[in-house]
Amino acid sequence: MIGDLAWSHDLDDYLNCLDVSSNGLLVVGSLGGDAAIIDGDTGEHRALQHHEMGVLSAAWDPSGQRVAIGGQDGIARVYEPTAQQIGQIHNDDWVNDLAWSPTEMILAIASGKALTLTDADAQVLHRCKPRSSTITSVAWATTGLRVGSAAYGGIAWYDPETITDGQPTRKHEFKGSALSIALAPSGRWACAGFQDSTIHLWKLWSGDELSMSGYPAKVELLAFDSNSHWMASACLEELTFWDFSGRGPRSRTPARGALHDRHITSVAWHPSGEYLLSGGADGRVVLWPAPRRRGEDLEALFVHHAGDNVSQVAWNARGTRLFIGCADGRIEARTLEI
Amino acid sequence: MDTSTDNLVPVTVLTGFLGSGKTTLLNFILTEQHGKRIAVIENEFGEIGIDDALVLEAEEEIFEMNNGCICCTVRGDLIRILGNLMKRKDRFDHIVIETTGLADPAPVAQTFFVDPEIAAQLRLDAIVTVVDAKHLEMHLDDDKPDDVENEAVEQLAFADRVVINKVDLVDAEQLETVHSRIRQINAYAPLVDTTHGRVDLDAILDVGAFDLDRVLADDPEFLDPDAQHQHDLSVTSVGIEVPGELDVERLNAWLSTLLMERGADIFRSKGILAPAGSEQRYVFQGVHMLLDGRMDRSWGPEEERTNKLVFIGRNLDRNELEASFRSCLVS
Repeated sequence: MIGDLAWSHDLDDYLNCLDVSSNGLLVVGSLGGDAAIIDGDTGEHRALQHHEMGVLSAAWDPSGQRVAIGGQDGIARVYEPTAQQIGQIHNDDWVNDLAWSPTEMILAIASGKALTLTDADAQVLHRCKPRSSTITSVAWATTGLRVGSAAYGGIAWYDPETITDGQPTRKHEFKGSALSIALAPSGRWACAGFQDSTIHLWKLWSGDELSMSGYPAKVELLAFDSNSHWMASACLEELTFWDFSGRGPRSRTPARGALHDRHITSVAWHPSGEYLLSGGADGRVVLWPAPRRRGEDLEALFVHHAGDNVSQVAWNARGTRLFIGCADGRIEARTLEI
Repeated sequence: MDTSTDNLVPVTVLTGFLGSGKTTLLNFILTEQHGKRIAVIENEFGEIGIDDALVLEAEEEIFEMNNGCICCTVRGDLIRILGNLMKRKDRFDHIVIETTGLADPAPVAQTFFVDPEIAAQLRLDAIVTVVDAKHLEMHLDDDKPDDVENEAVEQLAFADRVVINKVDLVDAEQLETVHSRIRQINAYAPLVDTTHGRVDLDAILDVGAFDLDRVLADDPEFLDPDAQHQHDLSVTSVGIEVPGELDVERLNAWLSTLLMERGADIFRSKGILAPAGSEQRYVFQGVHMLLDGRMDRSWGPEEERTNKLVFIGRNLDRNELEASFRSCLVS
């Protein structure tokens, strides 16, 4: 059950970004431009520098030693957990996404069509050759050897070890505007959601690929569970769970989760991979069980009504607490009893 | 698009050549006392200096949609910028998108048809094209290679309203010629003469040109039988009025074939139709192959069942269009 309120904190506007570190600190950013680091246990917070016109991206490095945040002002900043700023990078365009390598302290910054790689102190390592359209999403392979950028035309991969002329080391092409990217923790699959109501999957390094259509609209939310068994995708009010166990989702009927009555804005798997949280513009936070079989119509375990439209949901690393961000800028922590 | 338009924020698309007075008009819109909070999205640097309005810059980014329409392109930059704008607490009463002088209005308009997040919160109000009375003819007569569209012609063809600026720089006869040249391309958009971009804002803002409720409701010169026939023009307007009821199956086949084969050439389409077996009118409007349509109010007891269609496009043959449309009538 989604339990008592542990703490809450208010930002100035739509809570647009929320990421939780391995040691329990939150980074939050709003479309008004407020940003903060918050202790997930106590709610104690430290303000970060304001981003004119809003925060678009925020990410902790896997060790929890650095946090990066980027905004519509084109600035990406790197901080220590104490909120001490380490450095900043001025870019020409919105910083749409940020991602830290899981193994090295390398930060990938997507600003407009450009992808820039920096070290932990925000010193530029590489400037990749700009893509022909805006990069919407970036993600690192689990090995940390490659970073993928999603844009019109599919995913372009860059290898920081061998990069010389800024060219991608590999491309997974698909004609369409990619909005999101998700990589299976197993390292076997890459997936992108597209503006034209499809998702496209690539079996990494064999090159097999397949498309899943039938979505009613663009697909912006994709998330693999920690076991690489299910990938949840959200489109408008509905969740679809694809079975990636064994040979993958080809010709397998997905499971569904239909309960929200306005579009889903955020999904987060429990660290165990046994539950998924979804938050929606209907103000609901829904706790779902992982599907037990393909084609299943999932029944929600619990529905929580937040005070306003939900914009973000996240778990702490142990899965004992959840965080809910809202359109009015409120962020709250709640205990969980499963 | 959503048909309940009450809560949707209207969006005006402002097109026009550099030097037409587009930015002057925009400044006039922003400074005029209308009590509206306006957000402006511009694609080229303009000299807008208004404290109260939010001005956002976006770099035009056009991409194709894989939805079976060969000509369906949308503006990725607008999807992102409007998506974020509508999430913020700061609410706007009106949004103006100013395109570059050479922009094709189609991807802007099509963005409102294909993105549900945008369609749920915003409604495309009208495409307003600003032209310069003195230089319009020169732009229209600008020779382009065969495969390149004359942007001035295209912007007029798409327009729901045409603002003719700098009319003080031409005499009455020249102005008459300008009107006539515009009418040959777009016979249906109301024309607004002005100097220094000063217009009655009611004539260009909140006009509901894409509202299905108002399809062909305010087209004063609809089906003017005296409209000049200019067979040498590649972009023209064709209005058809055919009384009688339509066989729905044949109508669907006709319309889908037409849009499939000619969609790239048909910039705008609108219609009020009388399907057989229905008490209600069917209304539609479209941009290239994308069509938005639904059943409308009931026909009045004394009202004649008649079908009205308007097409603005390239190489349209009125006789052929009318003859093929007539084949959809219930015999």
